This record gives sequence, structure tokens and C-alpha cells, in this order.
Amino acid sequence: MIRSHSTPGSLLTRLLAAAVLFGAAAAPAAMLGGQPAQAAKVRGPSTFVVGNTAAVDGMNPYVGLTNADFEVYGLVYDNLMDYGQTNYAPSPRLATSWSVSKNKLVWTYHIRHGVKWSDGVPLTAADVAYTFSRDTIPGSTEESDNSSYVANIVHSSVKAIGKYTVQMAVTKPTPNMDLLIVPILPKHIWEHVSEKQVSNFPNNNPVGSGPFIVTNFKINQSVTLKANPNYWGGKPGISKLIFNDFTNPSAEAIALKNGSIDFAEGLTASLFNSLRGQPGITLDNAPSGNWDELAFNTGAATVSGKPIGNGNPVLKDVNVRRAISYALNREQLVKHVFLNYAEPATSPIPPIYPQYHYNPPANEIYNYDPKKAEAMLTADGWKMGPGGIRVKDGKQLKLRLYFGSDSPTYTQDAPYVKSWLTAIGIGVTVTGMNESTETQDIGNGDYDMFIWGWGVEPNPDFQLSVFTCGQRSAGSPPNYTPGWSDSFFCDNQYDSLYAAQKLVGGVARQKIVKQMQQILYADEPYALLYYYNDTQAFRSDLFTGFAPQPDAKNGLMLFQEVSWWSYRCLRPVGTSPSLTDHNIGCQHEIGAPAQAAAAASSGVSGGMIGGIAAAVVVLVAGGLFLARRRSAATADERE
Amino acid sequence: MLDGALAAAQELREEEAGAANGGTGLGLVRLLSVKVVSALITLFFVIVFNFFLFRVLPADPARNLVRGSTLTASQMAVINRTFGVGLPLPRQFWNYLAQTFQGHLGISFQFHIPVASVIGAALWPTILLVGSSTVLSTIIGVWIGIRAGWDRGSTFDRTSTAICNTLYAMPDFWLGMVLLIVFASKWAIFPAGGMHSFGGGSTGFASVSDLLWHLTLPAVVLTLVYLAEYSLVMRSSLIDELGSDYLLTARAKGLRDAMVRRRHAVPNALLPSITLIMLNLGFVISGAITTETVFSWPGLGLASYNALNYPDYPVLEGAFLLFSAAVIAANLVADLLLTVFDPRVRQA
Repeated sequence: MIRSHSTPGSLLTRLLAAAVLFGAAAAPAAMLGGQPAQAAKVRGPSTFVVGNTAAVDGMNPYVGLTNADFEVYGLVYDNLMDYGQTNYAPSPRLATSWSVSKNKLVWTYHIRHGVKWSDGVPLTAADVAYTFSRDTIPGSTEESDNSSYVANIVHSSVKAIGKYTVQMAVTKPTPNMDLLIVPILPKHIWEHVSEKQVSNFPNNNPVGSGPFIVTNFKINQSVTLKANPNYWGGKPGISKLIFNDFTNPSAEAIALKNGSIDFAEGLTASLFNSLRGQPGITLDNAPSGNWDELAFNTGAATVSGKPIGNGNPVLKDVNVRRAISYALNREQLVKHVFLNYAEPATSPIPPIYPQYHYNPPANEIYNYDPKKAEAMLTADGWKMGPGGIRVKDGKQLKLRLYFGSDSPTYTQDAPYVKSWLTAIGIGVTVTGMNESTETQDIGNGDYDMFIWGWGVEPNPDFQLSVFTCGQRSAGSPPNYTPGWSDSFFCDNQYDSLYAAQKLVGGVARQKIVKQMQQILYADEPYALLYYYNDTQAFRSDLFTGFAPQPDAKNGLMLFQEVSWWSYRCLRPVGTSPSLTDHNIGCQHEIGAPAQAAAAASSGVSGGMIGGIAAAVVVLVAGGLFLARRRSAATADERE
Repeated sequence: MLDGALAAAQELREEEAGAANGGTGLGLVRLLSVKVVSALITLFFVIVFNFFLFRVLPADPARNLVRGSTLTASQMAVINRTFGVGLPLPRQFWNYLAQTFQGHLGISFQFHIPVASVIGAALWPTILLVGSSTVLSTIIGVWIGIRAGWDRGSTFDRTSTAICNTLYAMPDFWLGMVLLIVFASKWAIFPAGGMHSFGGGSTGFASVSDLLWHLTLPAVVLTLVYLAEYSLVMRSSLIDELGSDYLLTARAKGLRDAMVRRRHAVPNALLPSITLIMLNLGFVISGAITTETVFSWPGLGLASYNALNYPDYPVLEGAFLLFSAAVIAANLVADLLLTVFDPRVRQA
């Protein structure tokens, strides 16, 4: 730029040069910030940036835990099947077809021909067989990570028959073998990673067969992927995909507004509202598989039935649990905590999975009815006593309520719940705590009630297992090993239905799953509070081709329930779909190409002003400093 | 300005050393070695304390990691084994000591890579952000403090003191959010967070300017918040010196006012500021947790915030160790510098 020809002593010249350099350096970059369209132009029209609030942990599919991790794995690796975009039914991916033997114990999968790993090596049945043998080694990290899919597969039975066929046996009939969401890994890479190394293998340059290839991963910052030009389903419509971590959701919303990101996930209700009416931004208020509940200690015990903990025995009484559920004003929580981006909840498999969701008859729903709640408690022998707290056999009706204080929603829910219970004569002590302490207290049975939540996958198996007797705590005092059950619900009929739903598929399974929820709803170990929506927002002026799941205008655009439909179809506004395979789902895309923002800025942009301002500040500061130096210098000379 | 003061202090030191030649030399060495040894002992206690601090946390870190995914008790055992949290406590302590002294800080629960890599990746962004704002705030803050203190009661003094008091009381995350709303949202001339734009891999000059562009807002926040403290301390210590006899003497010699200030008053008034600056330097690497979080700046502050949320105990442990070591080191340097700058410390 400016080279100083002055003598070394001329500080002024050097400083001026430095100031100009700094100003000039900051200015062009600042100019980019002015207009969304400009920002997008700079990073390339087909670079799609996703803002996410849960950081990506790493590229090793065996160890990741966050939503963002699974989002990346599903793009880098192919599974045998996907949950269908429209109805969560099995949809072919790497497996083109599959069949099961007559006795329902041997499954055969036909693998897609001509697929190549991103390093050019052909993908064959050997890779698929390798993956499933590895994932079924008893007691391994690999097995634990995939257990909901591979639990019944016989390790020694997994084998490749020829180049494109894989066969495996199961210990008992397992209908879910037609929906194996297990990333298929390249044998020639992973056979060099031993079982011991696997949990600390960073897998920084993953070799996969999926539609995208990771080019850069910076922890706590971003993951950059490029389109896989040789993807068997056709090259994706965007050339670059970036996941950008945000620790501050407000900054994420601002970045979307500025156009420095194209998609925002994890927005709070108020941030979501703040984006309403912003030009070029489309809001998606998408029902998801998530809900929160008020859980009860229905009688904590170990798997062997030994009672543990100091839970208030009052909650073993189903009438008290039901009365409490009638006292909860779920509409208020929906309105005030979620600004209506939620709906009151009933049973644990949420309505986005209509085939499995149990919708109780209207007269059985625990609608807000404090009078009814009071009447139930009175009928149960709880008479109103001094201080507005009910008494039975000389004991006051007092309960503890725990919640994870890290969660802004639970923190808001808790006072509401307390006030509603106080109103019907139940004394409540509310304690916010960290989730680790809470988990331990619950595992030990040292609690009465707590507020927490779950996210439910399309396959209801796991969520249903949470209420089985076998998920109660194990081990010995002082600290028991918690199972997944945190209400300690245990019912023989429920358990046998749980076993039965594993063995059948289709409508038969749906019927059993609904029956199980009916039992839960009657017994109310959880008072479900609300199903809350996933509030997503995106730049519809720049990108189109989203393939929502379910296939509706308010389906999930990205971060779908264990599915990745949109990424393969996304493309800049004004371009046509480039994918060739009809299994991919792009035919279901929504959103007519929005008008490209004709945000032709004239004159000086805000960004340019920023840059110039930065330069001026530096110049002035430099000048002032220099003036001081000079006056000091001359003064020195004089004295 | 500052280097003038340092030069003056240097002269003083040399005079002093010349006068008290001999006796103090050995004393100085002893003094220094006592300080170094006590710093090392402190560090050792920090290491031991660090271990127990993280073991009194709720018993089952592995359990926390996997809520929301399907695991049986035997699979939990695998995770416990992997992270070594299932071992008896004395055994864990021994492993921890042995590893720490070999420079191994363990494996991150979250990223499954050595803690040193997680911390190493976050070190440079933090040094850049907190380092540049410390330098800026020191220079500006001390300069304001000197101006304000020297002309006590002037308009400049009253204005700057009022502003500094306001800034001193201002939470940095709040200031950060305000700047974000104004400069990133309303006017949209600065980015909302992060350290780089996502471009076609800009290089050289463009990437430096992009970095500066991202650096501006968080650096301004930290500079504003830090400079208030420096300025207020500098101002009050300069005011303490104003009535001193040696200033009268200096004036009587016929020195210009600026000269009296620069050569005589400032070097003496600078000592508290030097201590403060050195102490704050120790906190440079612990970063500015809130500011880094507000601006998604990928430094050590953000890394420890994420580790706390996860919770990733090994990374937290490593970060705490590094932060404590930095503070101890900065304290040691401050002690040593004071010995150099302030003859009274040496003779005591």
C-alpha cells in the first residue's frame, strides 16, 4: 500500500501509514455487511450457512451426542434407509430393497450399485457387512451408540453375499429391521481404527458416501462441507454448506437478518417474533417431537422392586396425580412461556406421528379444572387445613418440585405450577438445580415432582421403554445407577405390551402403542405439559427447495426427526433442481421461488460508513498520539 | 507516554542500584527466588485443589452425557471405562497427577480429542481479542487518567470521570448486546458474531481485514470496560502525588508543567497502575467469558462456557489450571517488576 520513504525518525509518517492501512483493511470488509444480498454474494450464491445453537462435537459418528452432530453425520454418511419425508415410512437409501425370511429371523438387503466413497473406492456389501458386524460387538462403544437399531442382530450372522447383498439374523422377530438409521462406514478406513481407539478417534477428514463432504471442522466455531459431485443421487443444488455455532441466539437472529447466515435453528419464541415481517425471511413454526412434563415419583424402587428414596408416598395415589393434572393450566404455559408456539400435551408419542399418537377422548382429557381437582382431593380424604394446605390423617399435603435451572422454560414453568397447586391446597417447595444433581436425586428416588422434557423419534420404541419396570434404578446406596425411568412407573400389563409391540409391525403395532399410552394416560406418572414447536427461520429470498418433514408448509425444514431431506434439494433461488434420483424427495419441495431481493443499494452503504468511521477513528487517535509525542519531543529538545 | 515513564523509572532504578551497590544484590536474588518458589507452591496447590473441585461435582458425568439416547447399564460401564471416571478415587488422583506433570490434560468428553488441542485452538483468538483490548485500554485509560488527575476539576476531568464511572459499572455482556443491536442489527455495519466470514477462502490482506472487522465490536466492548478501571486508578494515584514536595522542587527548578508531570509525577503515580495492569494480564487468557459468548468469539472464555454447559469436566479442569497458572505467573511478574520499579520494595 503506502510505503514510507521517510527517515526512520519520522514517526508521523509511519503512524499515518499504519492508520491508513488499518482503516483500509477494515473498510472493504465492513462494506460487505451492508446488504444481505451483498453478504450472500460475497460468500458465493450457492453457499448455504446454517446457524445452530448446539455446537458440533466432532466427525466421529460413534461418539457425537448433539443435534448438530447427527445433522452432519446424515449428510456425510448414507444409511440403508431413511424415515420417509411424508409419513416416516421406510424409504430406500443405500439399500434399494430388502426382504425377510418366512420365520421373520433373517433379513436380506440389496445394496445400491455403482456407489463410490468420497475417496473414489467403490462401496460394496463388504462395507455394509463390516459396519453392522462392528456395531454389534457386545459391550462396545459401537454397539451402545447404535443399540436402538442393532440390539437384536446376531453379531456372527452378519455377512456379505456377493458384491451387493448383505444378510443378517436377528434373535427374535424385529419389524424395525426395515428402518436402520445406522451410518454405513468405509471398511478400508475404519478397519485401521481399533475398538480401543474408536472413542477418541477424531475422524477429522471423514470418508463417506453421502451428499456432502467435510472440508473443515473448527471446534466451537463451524463445520464446512462441500457438495459431493459424484453423489449417486445427483449433485446437491448448493455447492457449500456451513454449520456455524452461535452461543448467543440473539446474535444468530441478527446474523439471519443481515444475511450472513441463511437458516436459524434454536430461536426462542421472542426472537422468532422479532424476525416476523423482515424482508426475505420466512418463518416456520414447525411442530416437533418435543414435549415437557411434570413428572411424579410414583414409588421409587430398584429393578428388583426394593423401595428407595424419600419421595412423598402421597404420589403413589393415582387420584392425587390426576387431581394435580387437572389443576395445571396448560394453555397459560403455551401462551406465556411459548408465546403460542406450542400446544397443550396429552400422551407421550406426539401428534406429529399420527399413526402412533394416542388422542384421549375429550371427556378424559385433563383440562384445567381446579374445582374438579379440589373435589377429587376432598373425595380422597384430603380436607382443607390451616394455612390453606390440605390434611389427611394428621399429615399435610406438601410436595417438592425440582427443575433444571439452566433451562429458561423450566424456570418460567415452575412458579406457574406452584401457584396452581397452592390454589388447590397443596404446599409446594420449588428448587432449581443443575441437571447433574437432579439426575442423581431422581435416580436415588429423592424427589417428589420435577419438570423436564423429552424429544421423541419417529420410532416410539425408546420413549415407551422409559416407562417399563426394567428402566428403574440399579445398583446400591448411596448412589444408585439411574435407568431411564424417572417416574418409577411399573405395570405388568404395560411391560407385556411393550414386549409385544417389538414383535409386530404396521397397524398391529400402532394399536398396541396407542393402548400403552392409554394406560399411561389413565395412570398419569407424567402430567405432560405441552408439545412445543421448533421455530425455524430462513432466507427464502436467497434459497429455495426445502423439503419439509412432514410434507406440509409448517413441517420441519432442517433438523428433521432423524432425517435430512432438505439438504439434498436446497438450491439458490432462480436455479432448477439438479438431483436426478426420485427417491430423494425433491419432488415434495415447497416454496415457490421467492422474488430475489432486488436490494440494489445505491450510493454509500452503511458498511462503507462503518469502514470509513473505523479509519477515521484510527487516524484521529494516531494523530493525537503523535501530536503528544511531537510536543513532548520538541519540549525535550528545548529543555 | 508510557515508555517515557518507564525510561524515567529505569533511570531511577539505576541511580538506586548505583547507590546501594553490593549488599542488596544478594538480597535481591534471595527475594526473587522466594517469590518464584512460593509461586510454584501455589501452582501445586491449585493442581491438587483442581482435582478435588471437579470430583465433588455430582457423581456420574457419563450419565449426564447421554440423557436422551438409549443406553443400558452395561453400555454405561463402557463409557465410564472410556473416560476413567469409574476408577477408585486415589487411583484417579494418581493418574491425574502423573498425567498433569507430563503435560497431558486428559481427553475432552465433548470433542474426544486431547484437552490440550481444545485449549490450544482457543488460545490465539483469546490472546488476539483480550490482548488487543488490554493494550488499547491501558494506553487510553492511563492517558485519560493522567489528563484528568493533573487538571483535577477541569471539564475534561469531570466528563471523563463520569463516563469512566458509568463504564466501570456497566456489565460487559449488556454493553455487548447494545452494540450488537445498534451496529450489527440496526445499521448492519459489523458482523453479529464469529471470527471469520464464510467466503471463497479469502487469503492474505482480505482475510486480515475480515478478521479485524469481526474483532472490532468485541474489542471495543472490552476496551471500554477495562479502560475505566485503569483511568480511575491512574487518576487517583496521580492526585495523591499532586501535593508532594518533590513536585514543588521540580517546578522551582523551572521545569515546564508537562515536564513536571511526565518526568516526576507520573513515574511515581504509575506504580499502582502497573500492578493492576500486570494482574489483569493474568486474566487475559481466561478471556472474557461473557463477551466471547455474546459475540460467539471462539476463544478460551467461550470454550470454558461451552465446557460448563456440556459439561466437559476435563476441558474445564484444563482451562482452570491454565487460568490459575496465568494469574500466578502474572502476579510473579508484577512482584518482580515492582522490585525493579520501586526501590522501596527492594529495601523492605
